[in-house]
Amino acid sequence: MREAFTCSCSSFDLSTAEIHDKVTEGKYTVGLAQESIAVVPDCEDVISMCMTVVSSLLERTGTDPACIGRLEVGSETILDKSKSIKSYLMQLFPTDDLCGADNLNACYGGTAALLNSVAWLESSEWDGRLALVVAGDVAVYERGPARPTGGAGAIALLLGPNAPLVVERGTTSHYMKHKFDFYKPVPTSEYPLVDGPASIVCYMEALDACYNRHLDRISNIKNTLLTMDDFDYFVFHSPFGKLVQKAYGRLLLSDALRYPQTAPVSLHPYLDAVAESASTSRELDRLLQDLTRNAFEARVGPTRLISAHVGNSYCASLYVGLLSLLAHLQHHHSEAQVGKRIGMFSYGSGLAASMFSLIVVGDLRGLTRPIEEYKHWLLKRERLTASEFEMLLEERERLYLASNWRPVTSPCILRPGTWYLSHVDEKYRRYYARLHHHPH
Amino acid sequence: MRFNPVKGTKELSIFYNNARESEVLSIEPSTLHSRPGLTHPGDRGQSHSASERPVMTREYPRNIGILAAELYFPSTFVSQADLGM
Repeated sequence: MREAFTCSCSSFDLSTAEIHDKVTEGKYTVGLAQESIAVVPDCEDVISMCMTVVSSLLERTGTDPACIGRLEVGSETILDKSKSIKSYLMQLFPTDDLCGADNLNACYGGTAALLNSVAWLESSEWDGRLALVVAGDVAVYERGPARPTGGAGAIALLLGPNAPLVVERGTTSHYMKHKFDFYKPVPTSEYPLVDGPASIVCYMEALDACYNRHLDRISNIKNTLLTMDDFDYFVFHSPFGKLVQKAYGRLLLSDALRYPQTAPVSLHPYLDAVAESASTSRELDRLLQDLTRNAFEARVGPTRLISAHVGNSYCASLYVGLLSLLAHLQHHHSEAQVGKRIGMFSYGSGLAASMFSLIVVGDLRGLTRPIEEYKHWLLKRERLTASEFEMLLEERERLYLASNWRPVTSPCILRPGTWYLSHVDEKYRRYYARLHHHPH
Repeated sequence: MRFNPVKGTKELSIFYNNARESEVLSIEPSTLHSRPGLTHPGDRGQSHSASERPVMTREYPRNIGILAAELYFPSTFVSQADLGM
């Protein structure tokens, strides 16, 4: 079926096959550094990716679009300073009675959309229909050291009552500050201004605060003390692989400061100093990662399966991690998951951060596609050379502010059923079309 | 009841009704004091005897959460090794 579309595509190569081996063997610690990043050709953009993910969710689950009462989007990829992605998505729905809009705060928009939608489902405004949360971004950086930390992706979550995976009520924690760690102040450029070191400090400060507040809120409700070991899995906003391992190690530091009597002896010499400051020495980071290595592989490793190959998808990043975990769990251990707690840490620069827990209360099978399908998608991707990637980004810069153009790349490189950008007219209006599901 | 995506609107209305009926949360006065906008009229924060507690009940649908999840990523990529990482 797919072969008809691969006329112009190179077959997958050795290193891609190695990727497959790494995924199947589960050597998560080996793949901590990014393996590859997804690249968006000119015939796709954030809107087409969001359209595709919505169509595939509705079709795979057989959900009637009329069952959706709220549609909310999180993204920081700005193609229009006024018109929302949500408004483009309305083309996929038979109704105009559909509340919700776009949410903007760096990588936090998807979480804002999720929390808003959960609040709607619990509110007097709820009319009995379901909520659909969409998060997607294209992460591109100017030439330099940050460029390889790009990526792209989109996710959709169908929310409603009687779910097998529940958002724990009353325990979400937040941390919001005014910072300039990553921002996009230049309207003529798609690229952010990034203060890398500051961004990592902000991320860790937010993590410390959200984790402690989340534990406090759970403890108040459940009347019990929690540690990181009470989280069966942990998903982090993932700008790049290594930060996630550092973040998980840092939870041990928070636990050690919360419950000094239970802290590993090797951490004792550091506790007084770190209580004063959010920045830690390289030596302490390494110790924390060593102490949490096994737990990391079991509890965070499965969240990295897909992110390690698509890179940073900003608003979608946290949820790509969740999907990766769910696809893994439903395949390997779906029956043994009831009662498990999944920690979720969302971070958006600028900054806005939240932490919440998802609790498994039912059968996870069918919640996502099987992990084999995602692996198949990864294997079938077309690999670009570094110079092709550079040329594509140069062309992207040129077209960012252009009107009246058509993509050069043939949509035949996309998977069947993918929406693509057909053209941008002289008034900058964007038009989309969709590849057939079945080519024959 | 589990969300059955194959069935459409009818199924939805069934679980909606079940959900509405299945859980009733009583809000105690101590909770009311800490939530702006939910304060009982005339309440000045004094303690209530059992008989004069403000009665405020709300129905929450049960087990709000994720029924289905979907992912999309582009079909082209560049390897980190090729970028010199």
